[in-house]
Amino acid sequence: MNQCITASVTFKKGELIPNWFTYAGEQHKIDRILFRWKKKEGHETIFYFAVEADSTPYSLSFSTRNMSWYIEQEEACEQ
Amino acid sequence: MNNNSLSKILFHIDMDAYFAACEIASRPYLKGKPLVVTNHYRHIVLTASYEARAFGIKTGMPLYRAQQLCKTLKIVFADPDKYISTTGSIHELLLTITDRFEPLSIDEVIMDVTQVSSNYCDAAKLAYKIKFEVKKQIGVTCSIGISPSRSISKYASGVNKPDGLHVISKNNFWNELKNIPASEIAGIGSSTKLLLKSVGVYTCIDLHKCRIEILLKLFGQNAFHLKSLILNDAVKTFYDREAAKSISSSHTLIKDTDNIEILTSFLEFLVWKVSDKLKMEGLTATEVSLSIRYEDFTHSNHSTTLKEPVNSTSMLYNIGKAILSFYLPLKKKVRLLCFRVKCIEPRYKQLTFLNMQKSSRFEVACQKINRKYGNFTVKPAMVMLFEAFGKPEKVIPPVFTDIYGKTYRATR
Repeated sequence: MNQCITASVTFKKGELIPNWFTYAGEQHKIDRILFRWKKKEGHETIFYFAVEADSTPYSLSFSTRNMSWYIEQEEACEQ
Repeated sequence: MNNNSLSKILFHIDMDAYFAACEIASRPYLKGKPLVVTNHYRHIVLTASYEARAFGIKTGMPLYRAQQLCKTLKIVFADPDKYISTTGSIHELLLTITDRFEPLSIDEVIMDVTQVSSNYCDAAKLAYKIKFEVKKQIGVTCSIGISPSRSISKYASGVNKPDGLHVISKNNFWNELKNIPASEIAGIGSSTKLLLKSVGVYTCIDLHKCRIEILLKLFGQNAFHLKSLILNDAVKTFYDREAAKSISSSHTLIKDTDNIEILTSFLEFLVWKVSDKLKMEGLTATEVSLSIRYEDFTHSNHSTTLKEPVNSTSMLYNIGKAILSFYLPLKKKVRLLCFRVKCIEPRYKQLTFLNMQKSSRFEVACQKINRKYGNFTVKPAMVMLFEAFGKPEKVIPPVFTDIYGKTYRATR
């Protein structure tokens, strides 16, 4: 996937909290943030969020390079 | 035995199956399933979830063996950035309680709570609070061991894993030591255990009571370290890090090799990483060593002492190459290289020769680019040889086209 999406966020005490995002023409309200982490690539910081919306887990990311939100590709390798 | 030396209350906080826990927290559909985290190249189990451990899967086991043990095993590739970032969040959380803690590794912390807990009852309540907050805010579980000593706290954290809490208070400290085998203490390996047994030291209390003269005969100066293990309660603050005594970079090759070009390329990769750390901290080094682990897991180490302290990438690389030549001709394939610099001190001397200044300016420019755009954005062409080594053929970029449209395969 790694598809650019529209998202609504709140900045709370220096923390980035995604509220909802639009994906595949539908708006998804985020019920829970399950896990969050960040990664630095030079000056760029990418914030990752594992979220639950409508009982479905999604992986979102936010890049400070272009201030864009993405739906991330799953990397789990099931054999 | 008096309890005067048991004045502190120390927590050893150990995350449970940390890498696997981070993966499960970020991918909830993996919860309750046997899962291992592996690396991209060697396919070794880095961490197994508790469900996978029930099948006998252990850290360090080859992946194929783990798959034999559990047919429904889920495999996830390690994401170091995720784990490092999560550790940072855990440290931030702990800093809201006290700054008197030392990270021992990516998933372990030793914490002195003497100033925030007046007794062991308060300490246990605080431990439950930490466990609750870590689970709620981070999404992973931890086990905590409480005792007046670092090593005994570490032992205690492993008693009720996962998500456990074990307290060895100062009142039952000496009694508990009678039941803890000395080999359970971190720092006492199988060889030390055998030597200790030869003088009748089986448990921690035996070790504590053992006369230093006996230990000195067996272990030399290490006897003092061994003797101090049981009652060591020194904890630095989070900000009071010890200055580095050495900086090293080691890496296991994707597959064993005796190809000297690959090894030289690999060496340059390691030198860049070490030199980058030295420059970032404004340090220089006067001792350089290169260790090799062969395919049969035997080791060899060569080092050299320099007249002048250096931190230049090119100089360190040339020194590294000279050390590597000591190993030639290679009789066995190489599995791992470790490049290390020691005798570190702050840089105090300016480079004087013109060529050195040019080289230094070039290296500073490379460093600035890599800071801005990420590590190894600019790198020596030689490093690409190592990066491509062992990967599928399609990853190696050997073909290029000239201005007339003719294609060439890169050769050396």
